[in-house]
Amino acid sequence: MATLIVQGGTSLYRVNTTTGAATALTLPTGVTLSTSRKPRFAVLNQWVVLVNSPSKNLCIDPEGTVRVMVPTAPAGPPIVAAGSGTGLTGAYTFWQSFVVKNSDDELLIESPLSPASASVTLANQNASVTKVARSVDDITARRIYRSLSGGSLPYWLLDIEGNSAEAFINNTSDATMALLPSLTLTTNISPPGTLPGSRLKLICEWRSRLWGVSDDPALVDTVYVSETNKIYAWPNTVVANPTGADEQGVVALAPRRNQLGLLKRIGVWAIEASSNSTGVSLSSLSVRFVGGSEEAGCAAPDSVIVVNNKAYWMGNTGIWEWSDEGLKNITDETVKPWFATDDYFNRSRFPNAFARYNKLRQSIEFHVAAAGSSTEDRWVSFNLVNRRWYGPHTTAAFTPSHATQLIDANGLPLSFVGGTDGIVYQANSATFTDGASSAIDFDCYGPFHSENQPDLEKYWGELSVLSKIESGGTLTVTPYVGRLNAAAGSTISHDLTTGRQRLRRLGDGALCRLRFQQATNAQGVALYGYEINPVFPNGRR
Amino acid sequence: MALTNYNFGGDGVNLVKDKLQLGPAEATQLQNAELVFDEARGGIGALSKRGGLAALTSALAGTIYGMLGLSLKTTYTRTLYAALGSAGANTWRKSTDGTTWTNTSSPLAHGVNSKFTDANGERDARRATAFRNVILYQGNSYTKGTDKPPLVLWDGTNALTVTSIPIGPSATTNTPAYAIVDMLVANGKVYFAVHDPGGSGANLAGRVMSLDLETGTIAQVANAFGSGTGEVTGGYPCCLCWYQNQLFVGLQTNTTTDAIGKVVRCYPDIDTTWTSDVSNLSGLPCSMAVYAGDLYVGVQSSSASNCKVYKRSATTETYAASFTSAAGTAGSAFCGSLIVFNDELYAVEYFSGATDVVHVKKFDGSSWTTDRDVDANDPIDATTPQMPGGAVVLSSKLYIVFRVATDGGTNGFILQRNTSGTWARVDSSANLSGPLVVLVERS
Repeated sequence: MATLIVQGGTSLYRVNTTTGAATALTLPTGVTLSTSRKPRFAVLNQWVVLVNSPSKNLCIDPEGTVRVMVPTAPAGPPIVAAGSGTGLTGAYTFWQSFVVKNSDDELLIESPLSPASASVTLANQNASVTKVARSVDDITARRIYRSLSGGSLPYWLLDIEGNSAEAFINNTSDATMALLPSLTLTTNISPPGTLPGSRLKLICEWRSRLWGVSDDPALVDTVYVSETNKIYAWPNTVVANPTGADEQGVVALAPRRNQLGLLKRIGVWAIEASSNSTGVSLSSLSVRFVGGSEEAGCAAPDSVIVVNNKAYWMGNTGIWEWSDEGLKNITDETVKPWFATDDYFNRSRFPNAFARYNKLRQSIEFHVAAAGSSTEDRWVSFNLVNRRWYGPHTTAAFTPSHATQLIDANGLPLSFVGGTDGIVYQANSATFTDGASSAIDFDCYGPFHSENQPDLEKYWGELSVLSKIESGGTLTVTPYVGRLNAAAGSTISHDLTTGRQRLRRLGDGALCRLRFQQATNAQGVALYGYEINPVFPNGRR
Repeated sequence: MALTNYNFGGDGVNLVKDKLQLGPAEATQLQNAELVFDEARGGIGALSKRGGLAALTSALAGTIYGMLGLSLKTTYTRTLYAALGSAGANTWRKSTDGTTWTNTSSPLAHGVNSKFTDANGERDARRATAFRNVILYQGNSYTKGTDKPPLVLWDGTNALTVTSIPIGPSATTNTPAYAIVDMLVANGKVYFAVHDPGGSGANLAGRVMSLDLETGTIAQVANAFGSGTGEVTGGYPCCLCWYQNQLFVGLQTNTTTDAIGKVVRCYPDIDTTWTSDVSNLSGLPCSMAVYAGDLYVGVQSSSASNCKVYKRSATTETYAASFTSAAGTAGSAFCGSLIVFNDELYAVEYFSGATDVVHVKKFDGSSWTTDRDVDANDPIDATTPQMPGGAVVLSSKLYIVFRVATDGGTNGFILQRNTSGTWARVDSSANLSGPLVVLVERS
């Protein structure tokens, strides 16, 4: 069953998308969620990873159990000395880690290794291991590694179940150790967000790995990379040079099919992968500058949406599309004033913008703050079919604060908007009501009609409006007849039950423009079009 | 001349052109309007009011700061299954809440008591096991001594035979195994112990095997048990435990000889032989568990020693009695059903004799106490008290089966303990044969 993972206030929930029932998830002891840092999620191998908002990176298994993503590594190695028994000869080194295993005893999570113990030289003695560290996190076992005689590489030796026992003796022969050393463990680090001081501000899944960016001002151009299909193993980093050119560094991650976009405010970088592979080789990774300028950069981490291998995001002065054809501004030719002036939106809040994909409407919706507003109380939508813009939209029911989408168990696309009221709303309701009873304020301004003769005074005859036949309701039409500064004329009411209605004459003027409004709760409207008949010139005045 | 405009909004908002350049399909504001590519709702060319935003949830604890749509199966249903012992239509009892139990005939029947060949019916651990989204256990549809015992599974929908146990190397010629006597899952693999016919004296025959559920194939772990060349002596494997990356196996001789209790161990897939870990426990092992880093072994009484729970210290690798029953030796006694619950170790002290003793004992790391006096509080059979069977933990509650003494009996029952220490009899008057396991189903 598809679900939503939701941060509401300082709590984490799992929401049933069929019933709306929300189940609070229990956070690990000592971990809190911030209300000033937005949560960032990723899904890898059926596990949800949550960063930025929690005081420690978290992971959530499919059942809803929340754990720290990477347990804090043991600060020190176990203490090893010669025991009173027999069995081992040579120099041995021990390591330990903290692990979480499932009911099938399979490894789910493992911390980085402890430092290596001091080497102990044994002469047909067993090893007495003490001070096996206990974890501050919720774990199921401590995993012990040991070298072969005279060796320096860790081999998995045994697990000590639980988090209490601190000592054991061992004389396992080299021949019965694991066949291969655990080499990858030696390079795993604690990614930002594991220890206090820094957090992963961004995360995404791409090519079966997790990719994350630190909020450490010195590391904002560095991308941390996990091992394939492992949420807990983070041995790698890549850098989007130049470093230190902008205080924000990498602002957002945009995972496309064969490219992972590293979006900065000053341009777009990408990591490429082979198109015929499912993973990505870290040994051949390179970061290239895709292009763009400061305008093409990304302003809002939560505005990135990838649909059909095209990435969209909010830049400083418009919305950008990145496809195999390159970078393209998709607002400059139509709605640039939305994003490049202060007339419509509060541009200083663009970094807070967020986006969702409304698959049923095949549109991407960007939520922004109205001019003068300090909340994201407006949104605009980009229709992917006709590539046109609609909006700005608003609702009286609540103030949007985040949005997302999913495919449910039946394969149906759903789109959701969360509010500052703590409620999750589902889009595309056929009842034309927001929330419990708020009307949707349909309000559209058409073009100035001039009949290609804007200088001529004209007579604008009777208005006919054709609309989808509804069971009730009216559509209010306000004519503006005159010059560009024409005042609103008397409103005209179109009965939506008629389908077509011949209405009054509009009057004399050089230009004519119509405004259509409908703000009745639970009342839909579909406007097929309108006619004004007759229209003829009166002459030049 | 008429002005017609039947594509209003079709070209969306345009704020770039001057006001006199806008086409008829363009607009300067399209608030709460959208194109719906569905003629029933408007269609191409019609400008529609956008759909509503319907409240999905009630108010959560505060502002929705973030959300993630998760298109995964996230509903886990855990069902307790307790095997029934008779060959009736119903094969298992099941419960999702631990309190309400119903019969089911859908899973294949578990091997009934008569399929096992352990003295007094008390020697084998007889555990079924859960692995991923199935439960695995020994089936009942075979004739002991004639057919190979089947290994079967149940996934909540399908009842299937996975494989049958091949004839063992040390078994009486061409005689199939008696039964699968214990199972466990460790390190992502299924292991099970097999009691074979054959062997001589105390050196009874058996094997430990692993199952690859993806191929349905089974493989023998290390060498076999028995009296043959290269085989492990000291009894057949009757109980299993995973400890320190090794498989520990308690051996059974079906005798009451004192001080021959033996535990062997090996690294599966690496070792080719078993290493003797101890061979002088006072009684024969019948259950094992790992607690606080140490291995605990419940043993039967012997001709000279009461039943006990031994602790194998991780720091010395030696065995010492942690608990010794006061019930005596002049009867059938053992410490079985070892399990860790709520950070404490539980075991059932069982003695059937002049004065029956059936106690659930609890060890908190320093001392053993009686947590439930079963013979005083529960419907114990006056002649032969019901023996403990499977023990599992589900939803922070401990469950222990007390099984009927003979197939077809109806006085089996299940005890439940919560974390606050309250015991309750949650199922009774059932023909419970012992195995108890939790099936996890995902939807």
